[in-house]
Amino acid sequence: MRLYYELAKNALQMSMAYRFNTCLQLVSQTINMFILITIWRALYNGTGVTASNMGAITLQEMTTYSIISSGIYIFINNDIVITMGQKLKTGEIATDLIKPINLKAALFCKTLGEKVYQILFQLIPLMGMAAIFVGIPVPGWQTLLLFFITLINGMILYFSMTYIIGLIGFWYLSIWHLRQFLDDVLRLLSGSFIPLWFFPTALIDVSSFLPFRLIFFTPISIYLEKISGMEAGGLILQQLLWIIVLWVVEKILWRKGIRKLVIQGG
Amino acid sequence: MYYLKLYVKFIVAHLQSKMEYKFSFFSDILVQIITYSIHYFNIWILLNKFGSMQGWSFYEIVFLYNMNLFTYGVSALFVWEPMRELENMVQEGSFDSILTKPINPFLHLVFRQFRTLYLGHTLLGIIVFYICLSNLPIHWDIYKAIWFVIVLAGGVLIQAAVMILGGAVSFWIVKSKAVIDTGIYGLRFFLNYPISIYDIWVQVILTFIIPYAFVNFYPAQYFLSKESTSLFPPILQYGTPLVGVVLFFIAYKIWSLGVGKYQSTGS
Repeated sequence: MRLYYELAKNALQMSMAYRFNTCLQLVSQTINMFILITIWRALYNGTGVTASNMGAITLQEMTTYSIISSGIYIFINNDIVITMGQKLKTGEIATDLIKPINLKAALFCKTLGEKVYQILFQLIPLMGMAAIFVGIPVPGWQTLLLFFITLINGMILYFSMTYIIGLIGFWYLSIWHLRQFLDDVLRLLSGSFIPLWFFPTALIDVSSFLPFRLIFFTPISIYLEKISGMEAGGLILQQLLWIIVLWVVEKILWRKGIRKLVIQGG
Repeated sequence: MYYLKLYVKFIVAHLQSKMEYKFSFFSDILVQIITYSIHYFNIWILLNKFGSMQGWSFYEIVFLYNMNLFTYGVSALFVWEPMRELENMVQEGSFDSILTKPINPFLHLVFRQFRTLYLGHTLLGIIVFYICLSNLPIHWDIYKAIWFVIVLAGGVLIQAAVMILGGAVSFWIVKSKAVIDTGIYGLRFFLNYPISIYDIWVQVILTFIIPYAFVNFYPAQYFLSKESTSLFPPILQYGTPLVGVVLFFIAYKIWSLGVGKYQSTGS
């Protein structure tokens, strides 16, 4: 346990070294959030409310939606694919196998360490700016509790997805292709940009069979109290189910990948 | 003429080396096409729901977006990679080898490579232009068509100038990649939608400070016969080629200043 704590601490200290990058990233994130809010303002075009397949949605709600979405992005994103890609390319993976640590757990702790840093120096400043210049309505504590549960589950889901892509690197070396593809799918189906309530019906059907909406759309619509407590329970269950499914996929890929690595000698 | 011949030789050699890995060559391009097709699909979802964005229809916004994508793709084919690499070259000192060659260092740096991945942006850009133009009621004549090509060339120069400025930063600042990412990717997002939707100070920045708006917004206003926004005179709609040439010239001068500084410190 202590070992994993050290790994996380180490990652946090490493992040400190890149303060300049963090600042610039914060600039990009602020610009993006600002653009998102403006796009909705332009689409609403003076009317404060629009109909959707989940009832009336106000511009105020879409503004909050964009802010929370920008925050979730910082909270979930990680560089597992890049790290795994380098490990597989340089053969560092071989030394990882000798070490008495679980690779996935080590990567997760590294991500947690980086998260602490990003929460302090990106998430909090960004939300602070949003609160001052735009305003963020805060729901009751029950809603907030559900929000944080689904948020953390979403982060685990995204971590598993990136880890799976990393594992595919055993067979396909240009994994940044898949990473970019994952980003594309998320941009389209997760609700990170456009909430599912504005989707055409066919697209809602497609996305309800996939885990991506559980990362952005689910927590945000809970935050905006568009979803009742019962429904939220069902969605948390779906999240847990998908976490298990992805975990099984990881196990299979890991076993096959290692076998391939051992046979070929890396 | 001599340089052109040289460049063709460089490109042929480079493409031959790339074609050794056919699968990665084509998948690099395919991934870019998928990414931007999804961007267009997102715009379709939005406009399908809302009808228009401050008077801009789906095809009009896609046309605007595509002017940005296409000019970005074309200029990135040539200057993205060398400017991106500059940070490492300056740090490791391998930029010295560029200076020892009997050819202008800027040209040499650009000639050495060709970022084939951006063929995806360029190809998709052409396809989307075709789709947009067959769905938009623009009355074309020969002058307008020539003007369209000139405007695109101006756009390419503006995009290239920003990339070159980003590269030039590495002669002064160590961490230039992060600056380029913010400068190119961060600000470029503004161009995906009509800049008239933003607050006035954003429009001023994108018009007079980093004149990105000349890449697509002002020329699109002309081709789509949009009412010009009250603050800026309609003459700006014709400014793209001039802005492109001037900006490219300034970027090149600053870049050369950077090379001069690199030589004098000897670091």
